[in-house]
Amino acid sequence: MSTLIIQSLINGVLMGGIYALYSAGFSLIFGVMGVVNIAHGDLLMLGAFLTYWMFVGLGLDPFLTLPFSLLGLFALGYLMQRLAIKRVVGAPPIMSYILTFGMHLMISNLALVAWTADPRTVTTAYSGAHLAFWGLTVPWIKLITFLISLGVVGALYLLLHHSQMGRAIQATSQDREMARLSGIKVDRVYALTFGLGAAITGLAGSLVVSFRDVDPGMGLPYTIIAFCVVVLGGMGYMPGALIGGLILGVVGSVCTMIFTPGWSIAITFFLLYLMLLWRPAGIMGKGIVE
Amino acid sequence: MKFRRAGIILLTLALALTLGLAAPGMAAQEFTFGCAVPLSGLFGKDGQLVRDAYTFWMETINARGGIAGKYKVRIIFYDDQSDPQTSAKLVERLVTQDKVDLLLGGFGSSQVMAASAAAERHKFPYLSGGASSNKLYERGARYYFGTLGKATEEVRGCVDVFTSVTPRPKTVAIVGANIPFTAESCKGYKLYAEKYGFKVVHYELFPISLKDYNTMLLKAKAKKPDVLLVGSHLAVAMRVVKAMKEIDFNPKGVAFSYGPTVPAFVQGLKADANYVFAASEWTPNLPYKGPVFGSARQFNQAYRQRFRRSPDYVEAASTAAAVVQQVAMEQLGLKPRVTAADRVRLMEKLHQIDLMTFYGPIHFGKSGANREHPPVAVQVQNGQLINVYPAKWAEKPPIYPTPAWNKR
Amino acid sequence: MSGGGRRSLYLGLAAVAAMAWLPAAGPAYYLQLLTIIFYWIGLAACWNLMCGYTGYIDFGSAAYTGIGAYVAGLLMLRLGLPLLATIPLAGLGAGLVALAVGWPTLRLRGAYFAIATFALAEALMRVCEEWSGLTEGGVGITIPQRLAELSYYWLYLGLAGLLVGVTWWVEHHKHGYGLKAIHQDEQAAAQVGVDTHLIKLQTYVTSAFFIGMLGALEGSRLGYFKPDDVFNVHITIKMVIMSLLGGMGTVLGPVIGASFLQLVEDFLGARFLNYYLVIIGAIIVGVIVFLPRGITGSLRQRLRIRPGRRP
Repeated sequence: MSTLIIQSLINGVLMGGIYALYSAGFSLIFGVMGVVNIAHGDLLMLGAFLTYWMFVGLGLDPFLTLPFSLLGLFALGYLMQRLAIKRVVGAPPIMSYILTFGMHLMISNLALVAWTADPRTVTTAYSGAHLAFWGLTVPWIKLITFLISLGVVGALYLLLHHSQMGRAIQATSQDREMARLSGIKVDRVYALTFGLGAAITGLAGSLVVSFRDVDPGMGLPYTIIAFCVVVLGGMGYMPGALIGGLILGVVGSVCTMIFTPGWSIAITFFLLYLMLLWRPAGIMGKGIVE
Repeated sequence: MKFRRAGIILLTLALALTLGLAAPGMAAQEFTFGCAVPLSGLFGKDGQLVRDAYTFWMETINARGGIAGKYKVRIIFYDDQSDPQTSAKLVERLVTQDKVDLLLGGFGSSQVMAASAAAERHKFPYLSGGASSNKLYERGARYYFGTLGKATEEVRGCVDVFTSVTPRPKTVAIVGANIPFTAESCKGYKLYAEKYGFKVVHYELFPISLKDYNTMLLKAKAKKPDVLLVGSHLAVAMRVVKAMKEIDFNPKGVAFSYGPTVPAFVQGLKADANYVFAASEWTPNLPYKGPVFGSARQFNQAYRQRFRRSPDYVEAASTAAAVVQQVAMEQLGLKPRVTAADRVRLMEKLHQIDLMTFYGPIHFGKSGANREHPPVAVQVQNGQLINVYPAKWAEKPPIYPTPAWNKR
Repeated sequence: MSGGGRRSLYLGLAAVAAMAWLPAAGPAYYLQLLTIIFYWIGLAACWNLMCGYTGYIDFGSAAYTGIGAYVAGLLMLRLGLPLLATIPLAGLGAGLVALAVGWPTLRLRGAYFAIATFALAEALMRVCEEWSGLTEGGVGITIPQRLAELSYYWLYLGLAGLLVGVTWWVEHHKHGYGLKAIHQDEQAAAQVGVDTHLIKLQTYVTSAFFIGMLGALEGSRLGYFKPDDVFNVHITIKMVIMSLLGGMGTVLGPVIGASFLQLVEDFLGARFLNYYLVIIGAIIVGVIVFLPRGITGSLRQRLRIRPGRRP
């Protein structure tokens, strides 16, 4: 019995890492620009499909496609910011909800026309391969994804707090006008931030396609989970994505083991609700409250 | 000046709109069918299959001159976004605005429930090959007909196939998504498993939005069942296979209520798709034969030629729904435009009809539910769907117990 | 009350009266379409009443359509109550839950409030799904009673009219100033003696009460539903989008937003089967980029503000 609980803990931790990876970009974009990106999950979907098509068309290993989805989604994010999102930066966050909802409709339905609604997944020689010890199993791909997730959140934290670009981003997110006056090209900082957020999200998508099916309509549920993870950890507080992800992952998995999957979702969300009442700025109390 | 130009443009637009709205109903030498299917949302994939099936039927019929050899067929498709409210609204639109002659059924239990209720109010027969919830037949509807078996019966092949293997399994675990078709599939599994003396050691439904399948399946694995039976749609089936491999869950057999028969399943999972079983209402090698498409095998060949893939059983059932409606129309000698009285006659005719088709016997009887088809099971062997049950139609014997994950 | 305010009230009443007469004249399909539009106007008006004025983003409103639908449905199925009697009870049920939820939750702000309400709605949906002894779970329930088609038309029209009227009253009444003050600066409002928590709670409960009634009516109109159908987050998203598109915190915002979105969807859906959702997405993006105050707000401004500038 205890093996089962330990195994469900492991599953939960791995799941938490995956949640964190696809939420980090959401947190970054909100933290810096105050933009809630409803098209977040669609960026994830694009990353996943990029990997899928490179795998199917060129026979490229999913891990080798990571640089392409990073670059491709960075470019797309940069353009999205330059062409449309910049209109709502600084406006009440609600404007960004609806603008990005429109983008979500456009991206997901164009993808639907182009790629049909078939669920797709990448199956490689090593998919499903796992470490096995003491009667426990740890799937390799999820373990690697978890480690990448730690790396990404750590790198973002360092970037924001210990680099020239990070200082510019920080300054801009704290006081836009002040940043502009001190010579920071605010528009460029925003475009870079959005590009970076999109790139990480695309990376997450490229990893997800190896252990989960993807389809053009998959985006919205991912956006909602990312939103939950980030709010739980504290909006705009980068390590919060990891903490929020781990809480949701572990609670979900352990409750599935003890109760049922349905009750586990009910309990997870009720717990999320209680935590918000208890710590209205995220579990670490370090999130932004507008 | 500017205003005048704007006025002219507006007038033109208004005129175009009026003409556009008035257009349907002008050509009287064709039958217009209306169909609301999910082309986006949760069932976007399945709805597209249904749309392909009807398109194929329409093209085949029109190539032969049309219904009764002289009335061409036209189909208006709408996207119900996998949403029941929209589905019902679109049926209203087809009936009252587009003034279609007859309807073709959609996909998904919730949507079909709402849409067929709207059809019932307007006294339009509604034949579906894409919904099988038992609830559809518990409403006392007179205008609803389904070519698929009831969900609890439809999955019987999944259980029956394990009565034919050696060593005979002793225990089964049942898991399934908690939405109508899949939840009812699980009910059917349980019913038949107990009937055959398999012990149900685990039974659990999970939300369709469940993210992590590993832990859910871990609980089933811990019970060490001989066989795992899954109440699934396509995506659920794919997730289950992925998760089973990750947690190294090796029951002697695993069967799905729906999923493996759709080509995307094998395309995505490749070798991991091998050895899974699936229930089916229909396979191309069944000895069925009827009007319009000839034998099951001929239907399969023609379909492959058109879409470069084999039809799934939902596509066969949907095509069969269109065929049986067409045959009933021809027997009644209906002509365009179909009148309200015609539709009542058609409904009565459909309750009586007893027809052999490429899809098998169709007899709706009083309830509107098709007579039970003999349960069929298929297994993915070497990337191909092989009919493995019942023995008299089996192309190959079932491979059981299935090899461990690392030996596939 | 200002003369302009009174004039718009009369205009509104005249519009409702005209709509009530329409069934005698209009073609059948448009009645159906209008029925659905009124339903959405009602829902969007509820959302706008609470969220449009206070700036609180409720992301869990579908909880109340779900509660309403299930309370009414189960009362009919288990106790055999007549449909019309269950509707106010459904509203009451939703209102009571809103009271219990609103009391602690309305202290949260911004995205935290949005996610807290979403989390509760999601949890409630799963409870409804798992408690299959009472609710028949994910298989759903078939509703035994249904009103005549036109009754839904009039009921939705009445409710939508009433809710727009309530919004208009709030706009021109002390209560409304309280709500707007909360939107602008909650602390300052509290300091000058506005009982902000009470005002928020009153509005939240009222809005949930009506959402519950609408959900119950729509459940009976569809005749069958499962938890996924009535607690669906897409219902909430639609309410939000309609309010925003029309113009948040305006009386006519929900009317315009809901009608616009439904009509566009109906028109384009029948003509561009594959691309209509892409086009709708592009329209929404276009509205925000070029009419950043929503359709109502921007028309009122006669497009004088430049796109992209913050109001």
